[in-house]
Amino acid sequence: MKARFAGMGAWGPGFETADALEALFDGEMPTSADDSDGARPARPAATIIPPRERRRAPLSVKLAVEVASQACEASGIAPADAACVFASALGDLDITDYMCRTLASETPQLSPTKFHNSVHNAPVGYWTISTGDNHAGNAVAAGPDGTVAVSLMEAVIQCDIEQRPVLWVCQDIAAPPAYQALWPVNAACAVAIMLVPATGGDAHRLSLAPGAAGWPALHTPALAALYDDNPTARALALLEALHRGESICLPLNESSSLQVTPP
Amino acid sequence: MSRSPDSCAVTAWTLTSALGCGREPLLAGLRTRASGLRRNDFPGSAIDTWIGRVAGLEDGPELAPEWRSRNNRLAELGLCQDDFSASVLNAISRYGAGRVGAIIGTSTSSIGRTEAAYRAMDDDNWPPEFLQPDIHQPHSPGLYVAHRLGIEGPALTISTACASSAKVFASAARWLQAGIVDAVVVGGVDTLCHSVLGGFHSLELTSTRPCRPFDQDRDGISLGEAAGFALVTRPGDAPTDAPRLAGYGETSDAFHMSQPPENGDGAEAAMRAALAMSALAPADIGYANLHGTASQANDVAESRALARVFDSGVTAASTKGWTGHTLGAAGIVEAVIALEALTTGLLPGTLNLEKPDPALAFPIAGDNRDAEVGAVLSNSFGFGGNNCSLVFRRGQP
Repeated sequence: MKARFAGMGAWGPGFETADALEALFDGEMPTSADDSDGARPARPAATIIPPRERRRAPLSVKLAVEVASQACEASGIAPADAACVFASALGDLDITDYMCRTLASETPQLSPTKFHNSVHNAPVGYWTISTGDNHAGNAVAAGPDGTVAVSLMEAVIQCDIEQRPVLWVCQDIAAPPAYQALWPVNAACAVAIMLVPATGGDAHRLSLAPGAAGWPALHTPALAALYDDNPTARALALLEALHRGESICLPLNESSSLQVTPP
Repeated sequence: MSRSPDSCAVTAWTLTSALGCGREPLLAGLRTRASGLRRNDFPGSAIDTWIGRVAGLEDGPELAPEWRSRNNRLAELGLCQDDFSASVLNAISRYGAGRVGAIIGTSTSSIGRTEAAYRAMDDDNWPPEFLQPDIHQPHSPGLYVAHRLGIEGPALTISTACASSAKVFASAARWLQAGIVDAVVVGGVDTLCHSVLGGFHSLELTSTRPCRPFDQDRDGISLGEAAGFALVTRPGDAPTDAPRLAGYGETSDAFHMSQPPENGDGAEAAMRAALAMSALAPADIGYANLHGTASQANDVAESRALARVFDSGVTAASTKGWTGHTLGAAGIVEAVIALEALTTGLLPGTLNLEKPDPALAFPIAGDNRDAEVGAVLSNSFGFGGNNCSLVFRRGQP
């Protein structure tokens, strides 16, 4: 399993680009991701979505689209040239909360827009619609501990086998109050990597290893809270290792792990 | 793209749907043209529509508390049919548990259980029996299937609305080709729940009668539930006569979240990609199982796509009048029906098609046929403009 990691995107508390994230890895202190009045978290711009659709797009969609745009720009690959593997461990919990709360109420009529936004492939759907991308678009999940590694593996295999760029995106939003006992996620986070078929010595290589792995410690204290909080933020360990030019072992499931080795 | 065809062999398959548990009642229902649809009697739902409900599921296998959900119960019922679990255990003993993967499609996961948690909660606090981390997340069916079968290789849940469990075959073929596993359990599990009954009703997409795909009087879909599975391996590891996944095509409409483009461009591209990978000509396809939901928009768009791809014709039909539209399970439901057509020669027509819509660009088969066919195609299209077509062909005699 191999691909060239050609460009990245990142968005979370304290960083709004992959460059800003790498500056944190290098020891810079984070800037606040809150807006000026500090009353609510900032939202990604996601300007690639046409304004009319952007108004209806939920945060999960904006997160995915924002980091996807960044990865395309950083790699020089046009969005319409890449297939997509979009992942989220927990899906859009705001919409799930809305649906289940409405259905349990005295007036169980659902909003049609919220319903079509409730599909797990809403982010990749909005992305392909906004960019005119006709290639394969996937939407996947593999649990809070496994989604980053399994979905990245899925995307790298697709890139390697189909010999086409694949845009890997992973995002999770904060959990609403009713979900907190189960999934105490308090911050949104999204990452993306544009994967390009590798031609030789430029390949990042992935391999499966038997035996479970734990999530490795992060070397960036400023990101430690987010790393523990959000399933997608587990990817920070991967991005940090890549930034340091090191290989890393990620947990894949309870019996195997995924080794990622840079060129 | 230099992809060799016949990237994997299908060595076992099973389906549990409104037609019954396993392949025998499926074939009997298809052959006698007995629909599995019934007037909506889903507990707590007042929506005037027809549904494809799995009879007796409520009295089905009891699961351990941490795994309890209607979706997992249907998965369990499905895994118990047609000796499917035994086939997987054989694969595990042959290759090792770490060399077998699982890829499951779904659109609802176990959200029916989450709905119940919200009905039961007090001030946002769920009763303890609902605090099931492996249930209230999208990967719920992939987790259950891997756990239940003892699979220790990679496990993935694909959730691309109604194309989910068609795309599982494409991913499995790539996993086998990449060499990370020697066998993959693919499948789809989706269950009726208020989210989809209420959601499709809010879009005015549910029919008040049993769905009538491609009929001029069609007025919407009938929702259904199903669990289907298949075991895929490399052809060299399979009996020579096992059917082959000859090709797949995955495309995006890039058009609208809940409407296909009127000309069916994305559907056409998916069918053409699957045919190109299979190295078969359109004329080699003996039967096409269509998406054919009975929504106004899908059926005309799909017929236009068919007219451009199959200019010399093909027996093409929708079987949703039997099973209902099983959403994230529709891909595996119709892949299994296509595999049965390939191996038994029963080519199901389209139930409830009385007056074909004059707006259709392609003739749709109403009656069943019996004919030996060498290759079949199955179409699955979903919200978000997500399309997947599969081509299966016969193994060596």
